[in-house]
Amino acid sequence: MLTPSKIRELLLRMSPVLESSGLEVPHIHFELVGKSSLSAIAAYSGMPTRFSHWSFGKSYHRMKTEHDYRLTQIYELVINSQPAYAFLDRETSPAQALLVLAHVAAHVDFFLHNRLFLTTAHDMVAQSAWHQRQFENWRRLYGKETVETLIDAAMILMDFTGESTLAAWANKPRNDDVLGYVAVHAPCLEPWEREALLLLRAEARYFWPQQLTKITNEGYATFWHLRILRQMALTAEEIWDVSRLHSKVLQAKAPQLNPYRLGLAIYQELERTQGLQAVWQTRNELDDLGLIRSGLHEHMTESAGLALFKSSEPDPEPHGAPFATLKTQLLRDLENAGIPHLTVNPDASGSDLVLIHHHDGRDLDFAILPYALEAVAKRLWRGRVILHTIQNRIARTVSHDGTHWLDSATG
Amino acid sequence: MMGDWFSVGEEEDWIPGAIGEDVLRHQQKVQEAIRNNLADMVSEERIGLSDGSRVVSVPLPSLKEYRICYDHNRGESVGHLGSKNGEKGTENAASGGKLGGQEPGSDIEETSVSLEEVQRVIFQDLRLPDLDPNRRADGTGMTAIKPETLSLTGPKNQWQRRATMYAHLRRQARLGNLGPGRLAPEDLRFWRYQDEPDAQGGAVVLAMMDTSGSMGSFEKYLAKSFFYWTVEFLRQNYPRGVELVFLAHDVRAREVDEETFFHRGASGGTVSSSVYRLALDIVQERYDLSQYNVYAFHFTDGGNLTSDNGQAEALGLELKEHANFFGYGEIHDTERSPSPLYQAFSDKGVDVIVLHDKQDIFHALYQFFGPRPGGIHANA
Repeated sequence: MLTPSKIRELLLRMSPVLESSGLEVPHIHFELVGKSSLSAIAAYSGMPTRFSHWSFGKSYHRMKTEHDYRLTQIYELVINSQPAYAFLDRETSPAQALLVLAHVAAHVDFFLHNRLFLTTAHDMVAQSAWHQRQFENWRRLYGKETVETLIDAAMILMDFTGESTLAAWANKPRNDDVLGYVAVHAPCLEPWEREALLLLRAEARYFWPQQLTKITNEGYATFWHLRILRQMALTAEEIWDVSRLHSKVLQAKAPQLNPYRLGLAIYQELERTQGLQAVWQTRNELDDLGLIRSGLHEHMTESAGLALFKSSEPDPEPHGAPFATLKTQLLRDLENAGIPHLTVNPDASGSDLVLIHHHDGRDLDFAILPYALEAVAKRLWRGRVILHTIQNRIARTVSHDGTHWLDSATG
Repeated sequence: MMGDWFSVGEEEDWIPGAIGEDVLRHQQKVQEAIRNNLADMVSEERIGLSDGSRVVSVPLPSLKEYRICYDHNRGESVGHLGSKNGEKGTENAASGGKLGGQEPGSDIEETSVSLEEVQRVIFQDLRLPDLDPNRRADGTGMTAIKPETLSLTGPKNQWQRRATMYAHLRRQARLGNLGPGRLAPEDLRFWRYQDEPDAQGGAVVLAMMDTSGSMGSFEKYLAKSFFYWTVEFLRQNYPRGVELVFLAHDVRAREVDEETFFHRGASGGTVSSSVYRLALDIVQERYDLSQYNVYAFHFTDGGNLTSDNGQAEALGLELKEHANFFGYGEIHDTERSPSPLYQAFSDKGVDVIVLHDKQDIFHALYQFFGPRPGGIHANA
């Protein structure tokens, strides 16, 4: 069982190596928590306080089940803020805690330097707590049901708050900021509902860069925890303990892609061929797409252990493929964090909300699309929502007005 | 840099305050969704013929977090080669480590609920109607032993420390001493366990199903689903004391085991009186009516042989007389008038129902076992 004084001792022990590593680590506040607290914080995407919604209860339930069945185990959660917060599992062994602490330090360094995070809010912990109070207030004033259905519908559009993370774009109205557009232009929303949507939009914007940098961030943190621990004087027992955790983190589980494993392989290759300078540069500039594009090379295919899996099979068998095919497919998987490109057509005449799906070869899920559009039409836009897309190579216009779903080939 | 770049919280432990509320709301929504989608679940093929899995994937529309997203069931994606979930391997293969987890969880999988949960939500309102708790068969209807009284002697594992201490202190007080002294043999107290009659009584359920050639796959499917849920409900709500008898019939009736009942094919004509006669015989031979509550349910497509209608009616009514409850169900896949036998039963006060589609299974369960206004309702 870890205690605050044990953590302090471990951090002091690590400090000299960390200092000479070149990582720039601003203040980090650590909290030791139990496993179910960790699952709860993870359910709120790492926030200790977040607005209340049943879907977080669902996530918590799922994570707790996965944990109870020993499918996954969460060791730490890092919040990108200043100061940075890190939550640690207090049941971690001291040696494994060393690995976790080094990993956390590298994440914080990444948040500080990667260009995608230049514009993220630094006070999200406080903002999120304030949002929680706001929503509580609205719940009291307008009823739980009213607030719940608003969040239900808003969550559909939280994937579409603007794809760019550039500072220059941050405060400009953008066609790809569907949620922001709806918050401002929906004809019948109450002022408090518009405000609520904008709060949710702020949270979505905060998390968006993290969705774009899973491999590059996890790979970076894994690269550094390995490097830091190798420079520390560990006992044989500690090395054994740490190695067990490290191999657990890197374990490949088909058909999933393990961002730690792939990321580490790329950073190690970078360092081997171009030195540490390339590692810093990658940290500063690249998201997952850029990392794969510039860092995954043909001679790594075998060591990276990648394969194609058919998504439709419940238990898919790996298919080997030429390197170029694998890389193209991987880039496509990672494109826009796996979320479709959607824009609003602000010039559309009439009272409809007109959305355009910029088709890139992948079709939308038509099984659930009607329900998603229905919720947006019913609860947010209070009118017809039209979506232009392509399905099976045929241009289609689908719409929902809250009552009726229409699907027709675009004439 | 040494010690100034970090701080460590001294809090004992804390859990985000709202998680309890959010978990509760989620569970509430699960139960709501199960209730609203019962019909579909009752008739789920996977449930109807249980494959032994205790978790079912059921569509719970209000729980799905709908998104505008790619169709994940199409195309291919890149993943790592390696051990698959559930594969045996080293210690590490069993569980993956996750450092971090800030990314919002994506949710595209179907919501799964356990069969137990479905049953709990469905069955909590269902009862055997008109159950007479005084009719108990010997040996059935007795609950497990319960600790009832205290005794001065007994085995060590039933030693009751608290009662022993009380007895000891009382004895000390009688002697004028305050506080504990030396424990004496007469201070010792032990639990004595006693059998307790179970209020649910002894009951037998006669499940009668038409397996004649005219029962198409749809009709059989509905009848089997109804009996499947009936059996599950009885086992869950009356874990002791309810016996099941499975009777299949075409022109002749025979008693079969559960496995055969649910999986046997069908052929032949329909003579309903045959199964009523067999039921009456079985009751007479094996189930003393002073000791047993008898429930009989018959499901058929209503294609009884015309010449048998008179006899079937007479024997059916006799069965109704002997049984606490006789339910008769006809399954029609198309709109048509109920059979003459249905009419006759209906006029004479037999509980009858017509099933048209899958949703009706649940209606049948509720009609036969659900809360009834004014009726005697014995609780389990």
